Amino acid sequence: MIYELKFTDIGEGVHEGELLLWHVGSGDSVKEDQVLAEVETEKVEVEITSPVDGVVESLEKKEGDVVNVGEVLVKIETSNTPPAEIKEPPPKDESLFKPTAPFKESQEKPRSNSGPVLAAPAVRKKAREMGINIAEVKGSGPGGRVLFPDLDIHTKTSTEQVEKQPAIVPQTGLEERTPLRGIRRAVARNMRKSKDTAAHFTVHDEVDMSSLDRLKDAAESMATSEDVKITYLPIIIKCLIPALKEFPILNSSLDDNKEEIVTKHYYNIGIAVDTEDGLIVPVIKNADQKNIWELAAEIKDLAERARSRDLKLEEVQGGTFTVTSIGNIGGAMATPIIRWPEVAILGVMKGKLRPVVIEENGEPKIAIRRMMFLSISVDHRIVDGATVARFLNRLIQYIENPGLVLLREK
Amino acid sequence: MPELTLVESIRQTLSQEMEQDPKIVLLGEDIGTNGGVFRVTEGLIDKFGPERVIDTPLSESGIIGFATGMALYGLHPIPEIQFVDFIWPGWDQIMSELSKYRYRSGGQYPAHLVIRTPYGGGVGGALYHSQSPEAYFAHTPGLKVVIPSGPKDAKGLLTSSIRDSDPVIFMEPKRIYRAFREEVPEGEFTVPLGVASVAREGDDVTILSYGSMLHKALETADKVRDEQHISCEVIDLRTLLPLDITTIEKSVKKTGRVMSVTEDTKTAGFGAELSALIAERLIEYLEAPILRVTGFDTPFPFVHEPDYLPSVNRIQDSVLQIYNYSYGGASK
Repeated sequence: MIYELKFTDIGEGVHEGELLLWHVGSGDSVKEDQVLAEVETEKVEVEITSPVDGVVESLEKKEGDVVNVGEVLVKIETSNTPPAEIKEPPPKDESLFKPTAPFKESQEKPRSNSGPVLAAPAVRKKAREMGINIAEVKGSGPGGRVLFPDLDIHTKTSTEQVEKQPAIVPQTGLEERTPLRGIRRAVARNMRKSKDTAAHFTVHDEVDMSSLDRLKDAAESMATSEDVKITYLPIIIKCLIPALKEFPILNSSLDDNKEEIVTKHYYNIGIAVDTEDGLIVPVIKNADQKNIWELAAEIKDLAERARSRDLKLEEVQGGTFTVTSIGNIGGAMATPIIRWPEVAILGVMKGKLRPVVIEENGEPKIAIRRMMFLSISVDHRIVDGATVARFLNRLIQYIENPGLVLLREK
Repeated sequence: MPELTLVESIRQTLSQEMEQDPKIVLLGEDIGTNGGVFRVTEGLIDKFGPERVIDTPLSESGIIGFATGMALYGLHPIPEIQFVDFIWPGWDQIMSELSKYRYRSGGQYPAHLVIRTPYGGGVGGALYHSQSPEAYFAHTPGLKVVIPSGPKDAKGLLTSSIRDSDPVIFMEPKRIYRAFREEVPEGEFTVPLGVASVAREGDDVTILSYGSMLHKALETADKVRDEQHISCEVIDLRTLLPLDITTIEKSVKKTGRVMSVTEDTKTAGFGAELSALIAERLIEYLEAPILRVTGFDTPFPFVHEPDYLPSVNRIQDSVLQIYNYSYGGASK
């Protein structure tokens, strides 16, 4: 008897993964619970184990292949050792939500364009109105069901294919092709989606870091042995919260479908982390309810786990505003891309000693100060330049005089 | 305005209508001297006398047949069936005679009559004191089927039913007879038959309900708003026959997702009719399957009553299923 091991839904809303590595080959004997393969998804790496004892009949996927949930990974001959029990949970009756009789087959394998299309009636209607042949749309729902967003993605990718594909002329031997996978692909999609959706513009301003430096130094004397070292970032987040409260539009989203602005009364601050695999943005939940040491500890923890790929899905979701500390590496200013559907992202650049003209006793004077550029990109669809300028003024005011943060504390 | 329970509101309405319409006669088991097993008609025999508040033998076919004859004679009888579970001996009278007179007589003999009857579970009444057979009545042309969800509507709907010249089955959700009080207008107050009310406005999911289940639907709407930020529109159908499809259509076009909550059994229950009508008329507006939360296809249980009746958790589960369906979710 042949047992077909399918790539099952590993939870966390992941629908596909990249097969990284086979631990077994055709003809190998395998035992129940033995690791067969490693699969990397957008979020995590998982080990696929065998639910049965038997002999590997054939590997159905190659290393590097993208596998969708429901596709067969490996066939295992179990006739010599029939499976004592297959450790799958008993199937729940999902008949309402899984296609019934004529469609049932199609969830087992990826839908071909000639097969029946799964889509809610309202989605079909919209496809007709958009002039889309729904049979050509790649559905992202269970069993390949076409959802509303798939129609937009279809429209964009089909026009892009027409416009861009001819530009790539292969130069044999002079080029190398690397498949876009995992985080890199997620970043590519998210950035494209953001740029396609939000109307970006960026405002730059500079801030005097002297007070922040003094606060940082003074804080060290208050730290206990368990506290982590404070960097600029947690203090800037602490200064950011009251500014966001005063300008709630920067902590909002635009619901395109309903044409409504969603103002959020919670403050989940994303922090961009550069990892070997690409950009990951874990989120500090309810940052307004945490003190600077707590923020510092959480930033350290999230960044470490982002680099070791140990974050849970919910830890990279639900952000309301993002801060990216580009300046650690270099660059004077930047034009960061918003983490859509958020409406703003703050780029924090490198603090540098610069000669600046200050006023002392009414007289202009040249001084040496640690100055830092802030670059904030916003979605002009709902945030105007004047608003951002006022917001940035207020943020700078808080950073240059952190004591003011106290004034709005309850 | 005084705050009344459902029982008090119905009693007040009967009394007020009897005062201004001498053709109204009440009849039923224990409704006179005893005042009715749920005390709905308490005191009315003292006020209107035994000729207008008639204690009958224990015979539903007699009560309904007798009342039908009174109606053809020109009176406006209001028979009470003590529990709707007992109505079946009178069903031949309803189905074969009462509902058909207007048609049979070419409009000469409409039967101006209201059958009042408590229905529904939640009171530990087991097999024969808990059922919700509204779908049988809604399946019968010539009847009107009215179910109030609270004291205020009960007054408006009962007044309209009493004044309507066609036979009305007025089903009273006994579980909420005394569950809460509501301000009820003192004087003349009517709610038109065949018009649903939007009990709660919302954008994401439409919940259709009536009677005591409406309150479970509203409770669920609060819960999913707080827990999942899902906004439910809850519609109180109030009249099942004739049904206000206009209000349903308007809501479903807005939300694209709809479900019904009824305590009847599932198969061929009233929720099935709602699902079918919506599928016929609004298929292209639907983003998700039309779900029904109902009792189960079994006789009404005694010890398992809490599992049998739609609960907030069961309703919430269905709301989440159809809401998530649009976003690629399977059932969880």
